[in-house]
Amino acid sequence: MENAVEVKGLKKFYKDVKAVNGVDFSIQSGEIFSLLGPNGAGKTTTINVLTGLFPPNAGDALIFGHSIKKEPLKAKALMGVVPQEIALYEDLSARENLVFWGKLYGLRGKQLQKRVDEVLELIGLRDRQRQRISKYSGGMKRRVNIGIALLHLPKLVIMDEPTVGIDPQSRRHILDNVLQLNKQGMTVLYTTHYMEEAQELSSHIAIMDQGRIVANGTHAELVKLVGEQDRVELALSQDGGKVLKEWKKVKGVSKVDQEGEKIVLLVNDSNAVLPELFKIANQQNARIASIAIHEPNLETVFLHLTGKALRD
Amino acid sequence: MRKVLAIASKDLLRSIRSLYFVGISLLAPLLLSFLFSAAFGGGKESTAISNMEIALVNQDAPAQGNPNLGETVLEVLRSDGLKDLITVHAVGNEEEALQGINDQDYSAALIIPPDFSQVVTGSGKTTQLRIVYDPAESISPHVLENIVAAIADGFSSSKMMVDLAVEELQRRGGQADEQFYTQVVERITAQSENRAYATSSLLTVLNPQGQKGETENEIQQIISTIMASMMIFFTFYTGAATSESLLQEEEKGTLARKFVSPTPVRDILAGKFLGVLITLTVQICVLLVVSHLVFHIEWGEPGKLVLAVVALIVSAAGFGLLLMSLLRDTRQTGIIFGGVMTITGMLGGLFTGSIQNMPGFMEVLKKLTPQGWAQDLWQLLLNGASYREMLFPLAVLLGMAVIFFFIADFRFQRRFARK
Repeated sequence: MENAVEVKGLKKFYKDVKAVNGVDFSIQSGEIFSLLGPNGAGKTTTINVLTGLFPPNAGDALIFGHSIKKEPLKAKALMGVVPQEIALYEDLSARENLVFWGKLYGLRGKQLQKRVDEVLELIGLRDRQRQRISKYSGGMKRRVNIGIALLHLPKLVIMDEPTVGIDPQSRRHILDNVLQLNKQGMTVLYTTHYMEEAQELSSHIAIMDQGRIVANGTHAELVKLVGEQDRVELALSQDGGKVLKEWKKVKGVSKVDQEGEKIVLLVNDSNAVLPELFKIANQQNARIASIAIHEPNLETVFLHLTGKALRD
Repeated sequence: MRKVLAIASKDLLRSIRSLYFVGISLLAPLLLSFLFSAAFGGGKESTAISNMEIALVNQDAPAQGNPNLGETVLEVLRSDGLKDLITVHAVGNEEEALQGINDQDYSAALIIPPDFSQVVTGSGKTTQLRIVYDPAESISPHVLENIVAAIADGFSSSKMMVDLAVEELQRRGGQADEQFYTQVVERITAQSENRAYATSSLLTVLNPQGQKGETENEIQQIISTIMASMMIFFTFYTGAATSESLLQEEEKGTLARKFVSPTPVRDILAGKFLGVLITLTVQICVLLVVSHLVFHIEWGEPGKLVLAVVALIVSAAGFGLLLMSLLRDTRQTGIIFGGVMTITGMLGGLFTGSIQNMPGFMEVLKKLTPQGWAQDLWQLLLNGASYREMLFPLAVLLGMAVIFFFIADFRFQRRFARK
């Protein structure tokens, strides 16, 4: 399958800061690819270089075969970019904004008006299209911000943290839109520091930290990196010295640690192990006061790879 | 080119919608000019006086064969010299005139008594012209009073001259009967009528150029100079304010969004520059038309006016863009609006334009600012200078504009390319 994006040895430095320090990845046409990482990981700088906003210090990016360095206008024409910050004219209406940006993407006449109508329908703002942006809620502004990137039916949509600071309803609307666009055949490059979004949307995920990609693959591939073990957190109503000793002997339990009030177990399959754990606790006259099961996720992967939490 | 126009028209739309544009770019120069105009006595007051409606009751009944001096008064009040100031309606009697005042048809009424001609042409008798006026009117009765006083003085002087002439004739043994008296008065009246009323051959008022002083024209000229200065000041101000949108867009992220669209940087900058030029064109056109309608300013020949407008627009836009290209962000623009624009405006003579004989160093400083050259150009336009006379300041302004645009473009291109 054709590569929609191919990034090779990309570097971008600001004086002494290595914002992007040798990034390589590729995105196949038609997939949703997420760049996941905490704030300051270099996701936005990568996007800025990829979209031709900043020139790279080294490396290149190809958008459907067009180099962003050598053929920037051709590459840009194939992309729709949703910037992290809302970039709209507050004193113009949603429709006026869309018409203006549509013209910059080469649309005009009836085609422009038709696409503006379609996008207004898609973002659910047809009824309020004549209202000035300054009167909109944060979520509505975000939707217009996205709508602009879709006007010219780009082959690749690049979304830089489009759900930051918005209400759950608008967030849901945006995520549904992303899935819908992908179904229509658009390739999506999505950056986020919300693990759940990357997990829900993406077929491929690259985890970024300190200007580098530390892991890249499908969700299943990434989870495998931490061994696919469930993390079970328990609290006992009384001292559990003997219980802990017995739990360590249970088949499927690889690790038991006391972390303050909590007892943390790493187990292969929590469903299979839990009945045995309860049975042992009963035999030792100990009562389990609380229990939490964490299946392996991207948070665990990030913690495993970098030694820090995603939201640190 | 379509993208350039799209950016420019979007900027124009945003400018027109902003209260700043309406307030600072359009209303402020008009308001300031109006205040100056009012201070110099132009405008509304003179319009009010020119609309005075006066009733005249001529009860004068001279003896047969004698002149009707009441009719002479009426003719004087209806003369060309006064027709723009008062409109006289001859009415049949005093009651009708008073009713007209009550109904506010007339501001005042002049009543000429039946013995008016008889007293003026007779010896040693007295009579009175009466003015009745609407108490609500503050100016019109005084104007009428002064006019009538001037006419009455004329008649009194004539009567005095005749009385003295008769006395002298009698002292030398001559005889002056009633017929002689009447003939002398008739000749004096005829001579008075032949002269333009209120114009004294012994006194004329001249302006410094040796032309007959026309106060109204002088005020008009001052107002025109002030309006031109205000227009130049606020055009340069608007040039800077509109150019600020480049920095605002950079901060709001809309400029970056343009850069990631398939639009070359040079087209984006061209669109922004064109937006400034179009906004200033709209501003100047509105100011020229409104000032012509409100202050009756004649801006000169269309061809010369177009040249002056173009020079002002491009120099103001270039200056604004140059200043903004020197700044890092919009937090620094306060210095530009509060300091640079005001100081260069002052040095350019925009607040002292009507003051003659400024010190030499001020004239030198004026030439260092585009505003100073713009003011010179517009003053020449208002004075009806020839194309040849306007050529030098025009060329200097256009030259400055080219340099400003070049530097601004270079700085912005470099700024947006290096990121």
